[in-house]
Amino acid sequence: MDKIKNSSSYRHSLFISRHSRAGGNPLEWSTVFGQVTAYAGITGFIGFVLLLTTSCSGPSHNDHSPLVQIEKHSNSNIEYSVSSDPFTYGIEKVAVTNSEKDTLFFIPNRVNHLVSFPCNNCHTQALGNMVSDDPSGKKAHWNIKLNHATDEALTCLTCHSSNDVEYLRLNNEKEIHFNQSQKVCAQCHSTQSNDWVGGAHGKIIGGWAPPRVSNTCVNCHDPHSPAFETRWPSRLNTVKIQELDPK
Amino acid sequence: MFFKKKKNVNEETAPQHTEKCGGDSCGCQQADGFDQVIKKPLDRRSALKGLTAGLLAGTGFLNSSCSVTAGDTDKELASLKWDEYFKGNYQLMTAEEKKATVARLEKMYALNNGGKINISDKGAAKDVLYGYAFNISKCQGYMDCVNACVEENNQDRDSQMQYIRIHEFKKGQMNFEMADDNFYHEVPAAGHFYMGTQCFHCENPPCVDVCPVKATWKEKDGIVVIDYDWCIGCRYCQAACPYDGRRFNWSTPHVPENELNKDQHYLGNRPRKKGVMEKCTFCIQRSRSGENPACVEACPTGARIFGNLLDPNSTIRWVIENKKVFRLKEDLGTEPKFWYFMD
Amino acid sequence: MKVALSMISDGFKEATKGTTAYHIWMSVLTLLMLFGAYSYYQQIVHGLSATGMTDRVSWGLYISNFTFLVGVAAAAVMLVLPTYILKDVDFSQAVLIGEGLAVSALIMCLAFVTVDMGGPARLWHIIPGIGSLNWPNSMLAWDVLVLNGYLFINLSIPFYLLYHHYQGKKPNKSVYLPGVLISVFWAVGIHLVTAFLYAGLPARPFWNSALLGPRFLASAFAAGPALIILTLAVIRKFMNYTIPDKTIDKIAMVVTVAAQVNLIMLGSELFKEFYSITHHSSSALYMFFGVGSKNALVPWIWTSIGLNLLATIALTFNRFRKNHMILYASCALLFIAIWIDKGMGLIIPGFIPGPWGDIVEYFPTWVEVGVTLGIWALGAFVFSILVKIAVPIEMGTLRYKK
Repeated sequence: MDKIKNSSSYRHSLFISRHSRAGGNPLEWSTVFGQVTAYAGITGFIGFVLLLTTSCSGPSHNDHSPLVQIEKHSNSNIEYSVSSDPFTYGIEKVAVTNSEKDTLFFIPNRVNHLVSFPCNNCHTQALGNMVSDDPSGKKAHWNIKLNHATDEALTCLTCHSSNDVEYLRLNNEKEIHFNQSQKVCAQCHSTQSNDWVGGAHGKIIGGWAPPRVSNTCVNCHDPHSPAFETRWPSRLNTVKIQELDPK
Repeated sequence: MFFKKKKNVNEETAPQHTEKCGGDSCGCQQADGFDQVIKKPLDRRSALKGLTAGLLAGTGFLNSSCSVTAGDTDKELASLKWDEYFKGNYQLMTAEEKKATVARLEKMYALNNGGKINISDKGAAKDVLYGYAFNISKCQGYMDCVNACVEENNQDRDSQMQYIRIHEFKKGQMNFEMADDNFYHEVPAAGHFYMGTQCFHCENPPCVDVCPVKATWKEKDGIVVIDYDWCIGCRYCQAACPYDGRRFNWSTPHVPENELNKDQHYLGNRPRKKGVMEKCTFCIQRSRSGENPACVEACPTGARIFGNLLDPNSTIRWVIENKKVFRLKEDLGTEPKFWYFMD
Repeated sequence: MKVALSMISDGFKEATKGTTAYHIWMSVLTLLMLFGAYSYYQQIVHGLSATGMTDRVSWGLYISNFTFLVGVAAAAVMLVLPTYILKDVDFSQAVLIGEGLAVSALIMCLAFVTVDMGGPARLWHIIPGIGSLNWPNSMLAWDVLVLNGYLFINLSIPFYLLYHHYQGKKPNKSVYLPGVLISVFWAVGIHLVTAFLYAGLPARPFWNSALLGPRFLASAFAAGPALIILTLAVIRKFMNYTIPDKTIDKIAMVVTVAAQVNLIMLGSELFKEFYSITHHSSSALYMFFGVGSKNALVPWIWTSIGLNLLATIALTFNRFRKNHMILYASCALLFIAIWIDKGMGLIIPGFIPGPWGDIVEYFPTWVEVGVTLGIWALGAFVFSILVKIAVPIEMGTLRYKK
């Protein structure tokens, strides 16, 4: 028995022992069984661990990185079967262009939504002529209080054209249509403007699918008071609702 | 009485079998999902159905079908329920099987509530991998996103289930343990910033690995979805999610009829049942048609950005490539498709 | 076939007759099971909202008991190993009891998993072939397979042995020994797989530890044999079945060593959690000391540690261990300590604090407690019947009459 055990072909030894020693002492039988099962058990366990490590999520997480997906499958000529059109339908769009006049994306038409436009419905004079330092003088837009930067930095005439009430103006006196108002904002807020053009700032309306339609600056920010205001949340957290209204 | 019940049910389902297996050597190609896994359909399937009928009778599953006085509507409902119970895993269904289950679900809604719902089974589009970015400089804690999400996705109103959580951080640290997601005051509070979490649709989702029945998986466009009818409710995925992205229906979810969003997707906002998992699906019923998820649409600050990661012209790609972005618990190797950034 | 039928009918007769104490015991268990069934009915009607579980703590009493009982089931191996492989005959009487215990524990395990399901009617989805078992990715799929396999082994071996003893024949070693040997490894497997169920989740740093598997084994090999000692003590007292002191002493030795190893591992775990308190120590901090006003687990864990220490110290000294009253008391304390440790000390704190650090406490409801009691009663019921039938067959009083 010892001789057999020492031989290198262990499985073979079991085979021999099973046949040559049939009906042998059950005690030795169980010893052989014990060793073989121990051997099988350990192999099985290693196999089990191997199976686990290879099956679950693979040895490398890198394959699963979205960045790898982007690298492998990015495609600049995707043919979309969907479009954001159904979700921006009804919004009259104005193109935003770069310096080469290529259309980048669209913004909603602004003038359609201005309450009183064109301005010459009321105003016959150029804005420059209407400005007065008299504190008791009449104000056309008494409800507008400029709360944008400081009084020293901005006046009405910083953004509105002094020659033609229907236009905004840039620092170089170039007149800008109300539908291109973002150009006025971009003069100071160039960082925000870059983010907006890229897509990190501002809000895309309708859908994620092309064509892209983004809100322009004044769709979210009141140009006369651009900061967001504090208010109550529109809904409370689950736990809070249950605390306030226990059922 | 007991055997009578069983008989009733088999009688009701029998005609459908003959329809499905009409003609050629009983190929049963269009039979529903249960067959797709069992492969040898008719005999084994009906045998199991008959067998299970007995087992399930006690649970009241067949209540309506058993009653001698039950009307035609009840009988039809019971038969639909029966077929629904034995359908297969959505992930493994053929296109016809998907259509069939959608039709059944719409029919069941019509019979139960009298209205019409549209359940889509629209699949993933080619060359699309959804990604999401969240601007923590912009979020003001208004919770408009949460509101929109609940309305869009038909979440249980009784338990006030919400997929999105907005955490309020005191400036100077970004420790979630110190953050408050239970705030009750006007927002934004001075000296605080806000951060939203939801399902991050990991590229390597731990929840998918652990599900014992493959009831949750990652679609080709990267959305991690759940087959509500296949989920057995073991909640292992909930334990495995490091982001608190999953919600469980501890009791029967309830949405008032007039608040129900009837534009639905099989894997999205269709009404769930008691004892199954659910979670954010990037509003699959919206996003698969090109629309933004409800949270993105509702956010008044533009803090939420959604788009196609595989499109170099998309805004989400611009954010990832031009802003300094980070993801939460990146060390866990889950590879979320949800990035945070600051102005 | 005829023999098997006769064995079943004889077994049934044997199980239904007994002393008044036996009948009272079985009636109490039946009542508890009925209470459990009623509670489960409540849970079915209202959904799992009838339990104390929430989205924050999504596993509770059921999974805790499941985990603990997998350990008890696995511990049967500690008796099989010496009897059949080391040829230490002292254990032979204990083996059938151990395997009966394993069967009952497994039935309880499967029951606990089933009652924890949100959709028990859809459980057929897990059956390979007609459902879609997520093997090999999901550790729960592994667990389903290994637990059912273990149940099969532990049913078939004792049945084979009893079947032969019933006919007065000698069972053939080459038939049952391979099964016994497989079951030895299988037992380690079921508990490791169950530990991996938790240890494989990086989302829960409290569980995500390499020590979890070994600690499961150590605590199981303390709690399981401790329960066997207690049952042997009861059987000795109430049934005419001689179990030598030597057998109990041997098992007590097993319990002692396992309890000591378990304590060492507990110590190294505590060191790791508290020497350098990191973000990952939050669960342990909550469990041992509470956070603010939230300290539901604090009394439990200190009780568990106290009992564990007391029992292990008592068992360590020969003088105490040889005194059977002290031994039984220590075993009972150890059993309770490890039961707390697996539930209140492992499953529940794994969820607290949640992924975003919020602390929501968990308290089981009466429905949960009722179902849990019912399942324990079911286990005790099954075990009582198995022992009631197996002992007379082993003793030769119940034999096949041609």
